[in-house]
Amino acid sequence: MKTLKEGTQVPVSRSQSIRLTKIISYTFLSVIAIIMVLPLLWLVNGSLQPSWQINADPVIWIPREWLSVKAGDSERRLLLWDMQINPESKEKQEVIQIGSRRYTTVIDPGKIQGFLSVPKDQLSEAATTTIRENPVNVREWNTGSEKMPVIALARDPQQDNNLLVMPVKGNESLYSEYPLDLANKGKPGSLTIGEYEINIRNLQDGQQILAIGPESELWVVGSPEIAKKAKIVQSDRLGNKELIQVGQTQLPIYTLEGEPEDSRFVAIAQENWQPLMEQSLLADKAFIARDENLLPERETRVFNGLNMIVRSYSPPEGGEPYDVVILTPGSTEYLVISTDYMDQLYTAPISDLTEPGSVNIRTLTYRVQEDFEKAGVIVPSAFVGEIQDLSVIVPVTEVKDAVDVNPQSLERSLRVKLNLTGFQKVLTLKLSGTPFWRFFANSGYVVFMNMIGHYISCVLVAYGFARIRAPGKNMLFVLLLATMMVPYVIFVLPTYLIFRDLGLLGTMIPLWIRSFFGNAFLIFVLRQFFMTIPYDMDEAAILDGANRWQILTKIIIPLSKPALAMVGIFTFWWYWNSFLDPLIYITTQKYYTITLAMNSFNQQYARAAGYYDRILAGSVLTLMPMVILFLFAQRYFIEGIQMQGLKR
Amino acid sequence: MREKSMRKLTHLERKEAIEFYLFISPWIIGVLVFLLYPMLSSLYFSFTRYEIGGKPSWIGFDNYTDMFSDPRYINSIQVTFKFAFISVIGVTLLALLLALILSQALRGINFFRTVYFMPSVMPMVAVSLTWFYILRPDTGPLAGMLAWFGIEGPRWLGEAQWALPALMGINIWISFGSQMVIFLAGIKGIPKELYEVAEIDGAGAWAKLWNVTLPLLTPTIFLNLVLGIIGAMQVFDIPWVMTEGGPSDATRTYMIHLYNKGWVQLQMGSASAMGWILFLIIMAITLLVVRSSQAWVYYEGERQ
Repeated sequence: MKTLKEGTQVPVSRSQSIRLTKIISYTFLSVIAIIMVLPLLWLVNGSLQPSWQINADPVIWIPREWLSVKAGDSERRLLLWDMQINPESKEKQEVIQIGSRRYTTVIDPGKIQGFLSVPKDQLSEAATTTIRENPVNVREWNTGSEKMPVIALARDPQQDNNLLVMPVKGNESLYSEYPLDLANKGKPGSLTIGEYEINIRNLQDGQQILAIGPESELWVVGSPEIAKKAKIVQSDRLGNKELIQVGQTQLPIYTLEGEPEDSRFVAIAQENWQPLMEQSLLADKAFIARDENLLPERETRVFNGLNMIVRSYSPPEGGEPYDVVILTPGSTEYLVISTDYMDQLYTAPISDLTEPGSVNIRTLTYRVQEDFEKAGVIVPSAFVGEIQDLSVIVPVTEVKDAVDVNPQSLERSLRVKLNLTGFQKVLTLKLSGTPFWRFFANSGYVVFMNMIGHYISCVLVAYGFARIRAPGKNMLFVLLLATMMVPYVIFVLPTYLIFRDLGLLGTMIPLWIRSFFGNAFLIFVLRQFFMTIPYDMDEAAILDGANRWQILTKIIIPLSKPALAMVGIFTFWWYWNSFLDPLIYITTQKYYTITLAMNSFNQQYARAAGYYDRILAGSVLTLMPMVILFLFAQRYFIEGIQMQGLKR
Repeated sequence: MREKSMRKLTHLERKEAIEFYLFISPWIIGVLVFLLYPMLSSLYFSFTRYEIGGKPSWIGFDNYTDMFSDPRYINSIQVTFKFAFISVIGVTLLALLLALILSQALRGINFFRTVYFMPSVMPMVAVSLTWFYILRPDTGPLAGMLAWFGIEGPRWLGEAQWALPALMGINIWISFGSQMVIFLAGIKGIPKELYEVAEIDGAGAWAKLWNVTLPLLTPTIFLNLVLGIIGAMQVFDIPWVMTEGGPSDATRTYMIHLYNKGWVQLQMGSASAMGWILFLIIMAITLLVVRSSQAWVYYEGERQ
């Protein structure tokens, strides 16, 4: 009776405890699921980011792009910034930077109140704070008994371990921000305060200043519309410099050689640029000229705004001399191209040309940026001629609404963007001359050959074990099962020597030929399946006069589709993923499988952040076939794994 | 003897036997050429000095004695043992726990099984590369996540004491799913009657787990421990892609050491001997597990 009574009360607490168990179970399952999924999600996410985002600190989680505008019709892009017009309404305006000026905080040294020499070790690190809208570096002076905020001014010339400081209190009105370039132009002098002599600067108007930092920057920004009128010119064409006032700062403007005297230009940026030509054009039309076939006169001529060196070339086989451009100079020979092709010359800032590869022709070497993006299309581009000092300029008449702004109040304009260039780049990439897609094809080929091998050999052998009686069969079957347990480490080296003796190293044959001799596990899978097919069907066929071969092809194989699918799927799985065998057997790059190529690609570029997008995109492409196969044929993977791991 | 038994076969039986051996001949040739011959030749090479390009010359047990005086070799054994032991235990425990939870007929079992199992089928190289970039110091996503909590993580693959644990964790992450799938099938294969009997005897959930599920699962656990150890002792892809055995040999596993001996230093004799030592180690561990299995593995035959 007692137990029954208890039993009646159980349901309430029991259903509660079941619910609790369920909650705990699901929480645990979900946590593990997140741990499993997150790395893969990150991979996909990362493959959609450009390299700089993958390598950004702090981490950028969502793929995005920095918005920019083209400078005129050049490939140079000017970054867009979001400027807050009105802090309350959060209204923003897009601007581009067109100038900047650095400032420093200065004081009038004659008005300092309370001058002290303090041991360095009693001072804390400097922290930048704002006093009456001017930034200053304040330190804490700890005498042991009391603390006092002070500002360091100079080293104590008499005591090396001391700094000359002034208290913050009482000096609040001294600070002002002053352009760094003007402050540095002041005449160096000295001033004696009490017993100390300190270095100061005397300005033209007789004012004395002491620069105490910190330095800050003001930018001149303007509407992105300005960029449309931008031109790229040789920096040495910029003439006289004048300053125009923009708010609290000034913008330098220049005259330009070859333009009317009264026109003025703002230089938005001045950088080094590299002249480029399409590598295919170079491969087709450029040639090597020996010194003796070139006239000694060199002329600098301008093509598409770029200075190139032109010499006259007399073909050794005869014919009229003509002008050629020196693309790559050497000591006795030069890579040259006829001036006819100079309309195909273009250029890019050197900062855009990361990690170029090199191409050697005889004694000459030139560099190639394989993944150069020209008007949205990837064009392998060769570096030609010499680096040019170019400026991005706009006529000052176009700069109407320029304002000065503290760059800290600007934010980069960006938007979420899934970036596919990593995939585009990896597919057009070349690893020592072999295009990357070739490695996928190689892996596909290896998988295909192994499949043929397994289908022929495993089906025959499994059929033998399943259907034909013979002495010694059971013993051989036990041997078959035993071979599954033998570790590969024991064969890996002698098998290599066998293929070496057969002269097959460096070919892809060692990666698939062994499949033509069966695979113990797949034979086992097929044999188990064949055994489930009723023997009556064989017998009926035998009565009809069918031989073994006909029974196999007409009855057994058509009825064994699931097992045959498993053979194909496992073969794909093993050989798409295999790494050690390709590493050992493949010595020529053009036969690399995808896993081998990805590894060697990573070894080459893991430290070159510019290649992260390609490595992640390549990893996604390597995973993709397996993921797709898995999602569509998961049942077979599970069944196969269970056959491997369950007690037989 | 053999002649005699052959003679006993009728004509038809003999024809059938010939057919059998014809059908399985690819495998027979495969066993002879790619199993038996390599095993024997590597046994022979292991007693020779054999540099690629040269001829093997007999040196007796020198390879075997020499390698044990190589501290890098001893280190690679230690690394491999640590890796295999902890990964196999981790994989087995996690897989068992999740299989037990999932087998409670919860909703969503297919989803969880897919998610847990997927990394096992992916190319090890691509998965290793993914983790390589996840573990990057400073700018990697793991460093970014730790930064949310104000933690500055170690340099993982760059630090000797963290590299091997990181690889073990990744190996567990990759391979516990397939193990779990096997355990799930094992649990499913336990006859329902046993649970019914246990319930009649008044067993609760825990009692059923301890007295029915786990004992009947022990043969499966046992087999997978053996397979897991064989696999983990030969680990190569993960450390090769992620660390190449570094930093300062902290992840230089047995296979990496062997690969370097054979294909970098080109000492085929010495590498063959190492292959055999690993083979013997694996066999010894397997035997040890088999021996111990008498104490903890439950075989159905025993009851009758």
